[in-house]
Amino acid sequence: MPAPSSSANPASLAELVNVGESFCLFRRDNHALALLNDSAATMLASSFDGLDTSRFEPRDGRAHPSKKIDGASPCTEALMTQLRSEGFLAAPAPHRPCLPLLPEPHLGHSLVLDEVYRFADGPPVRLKCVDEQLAGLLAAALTPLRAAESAAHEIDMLVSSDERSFGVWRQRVAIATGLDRVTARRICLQAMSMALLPPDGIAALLHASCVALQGRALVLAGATGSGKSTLTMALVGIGATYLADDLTPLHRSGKSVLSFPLAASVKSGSWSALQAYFPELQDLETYRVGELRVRYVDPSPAGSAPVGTGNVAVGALVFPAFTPGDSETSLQRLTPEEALSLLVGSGSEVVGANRSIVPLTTFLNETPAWRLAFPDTASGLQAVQKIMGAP
Amino acid sequence: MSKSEQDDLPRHEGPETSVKSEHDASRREALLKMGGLAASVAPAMLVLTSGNASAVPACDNPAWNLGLQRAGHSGC
Repeated sequence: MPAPSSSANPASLAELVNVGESFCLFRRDNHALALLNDSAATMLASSFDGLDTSRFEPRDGRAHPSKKIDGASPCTEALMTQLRSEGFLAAPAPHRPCLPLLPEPHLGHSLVLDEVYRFADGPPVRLKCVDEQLAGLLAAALTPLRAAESAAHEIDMLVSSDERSFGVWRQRVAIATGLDRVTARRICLQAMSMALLPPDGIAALLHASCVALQGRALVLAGATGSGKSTLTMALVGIGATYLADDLTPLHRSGKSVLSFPLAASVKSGSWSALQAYFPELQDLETYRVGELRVRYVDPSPAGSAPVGTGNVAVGALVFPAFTPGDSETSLQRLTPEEALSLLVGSGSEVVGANRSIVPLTTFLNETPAWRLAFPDTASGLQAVQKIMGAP
Repeated sequence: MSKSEQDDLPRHEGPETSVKSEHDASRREALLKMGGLAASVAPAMLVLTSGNASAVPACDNPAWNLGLQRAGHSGC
């Protein structure tokens, strides 16, 4: 297995990296990602211009074949056709400067939110928002990171809106525009994480919640509605250290995660299950997002629950699935390839100035991954404690 | 407690990050679970994310470094 490192060749267009018993091909610029078998990987290693193979080791130990793909084999032709059609072989886009947009995008709107946030030793970030509903959601989620009012800020973030859509801006440069409100919330929180946390330390933003048990991080990842926030808060309720909800930064080493303790969003279906752990839940303000009702729980006030800071070594990766109709808990070990597919399919993304898939594959190669189907919170708690070897 | 009540905030997943259909997800899972990909002697590939949906310009916009370009277009 290639040694984990964050020093992959940043000049390369793409990477070929071992993951589990297979390999993955990753384009840094357009995020194209594929799993390959040994035959395809070995073939590409010698024929893909700009491919970083420093983390690639063929399964059978062969040296990279010297001959180029001749295109004679139907399988080879099919592979190349698929690579071409999915954007893996596209020419890199030309570099062009990006200028700030003028005038001020919130001109004509009054600011509903104007707060400075800070986490640990990171830079203070000023967030402004012109939409009342969105401002409420953002302020509630970011409450634990609110800085003193007098704090001088280094980075400006803005959520603007016109009659039809929302935009998220950083230093007066658009991150994304044409968004609906819910997407703008997600993009803004992702962008805030990248602004508040050490910029060189994050290799991926996992769509996951996270706690520490006995000093090791349990990453609960997966699709929307899987129950990861509920399990996370239940674990915090019985003494686990809270690290993150819904947005977990993966350290560039691939061996640890960073704490990013936003207030946890607890949906109405979980209120009764978590009431015993967080009695204040019933008194919290309810936010409406579409048909959903959400309350934001800050686990940290008054020392009610420990909140971690810095890096925490990863112990396990779990993809929960809340299955209230089932009678039994089901626990199934996943291969690194399966875990990669599930992570990417549920919205986790590689980030960073020199985007590299290596930290993510290191994480998956070295972290046991499980799929957990649980019919109720107590069963889910029992299962994840067993996975982590907790008493 | 219904599953819909437990839903997270609805999230917009770009077409390239979401599973395109249940059929695709099942096919992908079956291929991975059976080890069919690694075991195949012929060259085989399973695309997890297409590069077509995010034509990313190489520019100075810090947004590109955030990996957020799928959600919309940038200002550049």
